[in-house]
Amino acid sequence: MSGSCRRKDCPSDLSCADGEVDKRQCPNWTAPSDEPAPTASEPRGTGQDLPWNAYTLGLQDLGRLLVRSPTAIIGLIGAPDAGKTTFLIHLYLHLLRGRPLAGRTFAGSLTLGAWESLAAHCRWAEGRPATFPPHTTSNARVPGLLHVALRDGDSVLRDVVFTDAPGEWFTRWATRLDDVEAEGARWIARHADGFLLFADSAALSDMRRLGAARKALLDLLPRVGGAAGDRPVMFLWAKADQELRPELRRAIEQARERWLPSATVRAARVDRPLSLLDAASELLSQALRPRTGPPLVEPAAATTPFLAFRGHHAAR
Amino acid sequence: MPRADVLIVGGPQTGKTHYGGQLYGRLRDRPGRLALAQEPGDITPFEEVLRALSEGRSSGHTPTETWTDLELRIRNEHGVESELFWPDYGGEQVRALVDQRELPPRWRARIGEAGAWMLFVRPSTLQVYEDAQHRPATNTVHPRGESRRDWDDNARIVETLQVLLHAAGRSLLRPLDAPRLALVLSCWDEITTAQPRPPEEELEARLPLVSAFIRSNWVSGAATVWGLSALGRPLRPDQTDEEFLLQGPERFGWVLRPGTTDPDDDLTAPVAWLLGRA
Repeated sequence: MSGSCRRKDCPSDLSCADGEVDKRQCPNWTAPSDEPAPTASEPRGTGQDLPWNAYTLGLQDLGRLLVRSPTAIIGLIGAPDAGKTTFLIHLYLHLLRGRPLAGRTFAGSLTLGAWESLAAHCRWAEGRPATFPPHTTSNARVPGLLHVALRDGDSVLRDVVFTDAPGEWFTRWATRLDDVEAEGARWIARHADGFLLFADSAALSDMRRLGAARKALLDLLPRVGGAAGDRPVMFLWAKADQELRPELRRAIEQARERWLPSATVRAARVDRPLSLLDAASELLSQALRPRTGPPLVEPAAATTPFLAFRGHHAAR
Repeated sequence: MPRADVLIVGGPQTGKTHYGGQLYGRLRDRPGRLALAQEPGDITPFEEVLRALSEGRSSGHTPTETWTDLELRIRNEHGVESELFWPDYGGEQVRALVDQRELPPRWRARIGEAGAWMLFVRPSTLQVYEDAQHRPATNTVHPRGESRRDWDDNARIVETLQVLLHAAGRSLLRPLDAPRLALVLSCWDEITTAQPRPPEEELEARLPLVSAFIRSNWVSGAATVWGLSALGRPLRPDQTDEEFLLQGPERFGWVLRPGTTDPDDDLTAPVAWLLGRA
């Protein structure tokens, strides 16, 4: 079909945003004048028949597709190359093996294409050993949201979305909260139900990269602390097979205790794949718990129970 | 348009053709609780498959130009009729669901109406990948790129089910008790594992993501896994298998009922279960 929809928020590769089964029947559809009228008995679909395309979800998709349950958003935060993408890949590989996540079983995903695309980097290609995913920059790969639906033992379905964002967003955000280039990081800070902060043990144990890595992490700690509030945070020592110098480790732990006193601390390494799954499950379990609102406090003007009566006299 | 009661789908070369022919043969020649209806519909394609099998040969490449969809009307012992519907005999349209995101309009109607689905998966030709995390995989294929065609079959089959559920207008908020799902692991005779496993364990071993998806989203008992060997042995289109020729197709073919490892030659069993008469 060579026409298009007048609605700016109706993508050309998805089905009609207004819910029409055939996009061409929608009042917003504009077709070029020489296009033949649709026939009733077309054997094929149009390629625009589904409301999701299996690639990463964008903000618009989130609002339109994931309304059947309160969707938990998990923000993965960390400097470039800290291990966020590797974490996501291993999470998917665990799901592919049928393993439960946060005590819940896999019940579907609207982003299987995105997960597969990530996993392709970890699969054996002809004669080549598996390599780590290429560096994610803002330009190379579209940042997005990866989705998985999970069902628990009581048959309750929850939708979970993981952010897949370039580390540059967070270094910008750490340096300057209102940096124009950090809008995505701010979105995550505002909307996430749980935060996973990555500390790159490999960079922190390499004399050449130590300085920059330490600064990046120490700049991020107060940002995440300020943003998280009472939302669960996990501080993850990624690439934990690399050992830090004890004094550096202590300094970071002190900063972490100061800015993220209630964070859960975990370590993960790819040669122990279950460590990644366990960390994800732990954070997700916390994020999926219903959050109670702040307690309502009513000032007590007097302690006589009789005076607690609230009839229409209370206004006087 | 008659209501499609059982929808039979699966990718290309997943054994739907031979099952169709053999099932038809059983219903025609050895009717039991299920039999052909008075007017079963166009039986030509099924007769053609049976004719090849009667000569001890496989049915050869599916002529998808001639038949895109097949229907067969059957009846039970009380005379109640049901329809079996193959919307996409060749299986290419099922692949196009995922690859090209194409959902033909007439699929929507038939999928929504069908009270039961039979999904064919052929274990011996699955495309699943080794990865850096764990070494063993039963069939190793090397990915060439990142197009949908290169998806691991776990993802492909789950996505196919998600598209079908969307087309049927089903929400997954609560586990489903309808449509009933029979996932058939076909060409079971090609499986060479030393210790035979019941079908649901075979599925969990080969396609853990699919197994989890089905367990999560269907009420216990509303989705089952079956083993199937419609022919019992490999046949060639160009060579005659003498035993097949001498004994006839009706003596070959079996199913593995859920939870069992013993073959049962009643090829109508999965259909009977889907129609609620198992």
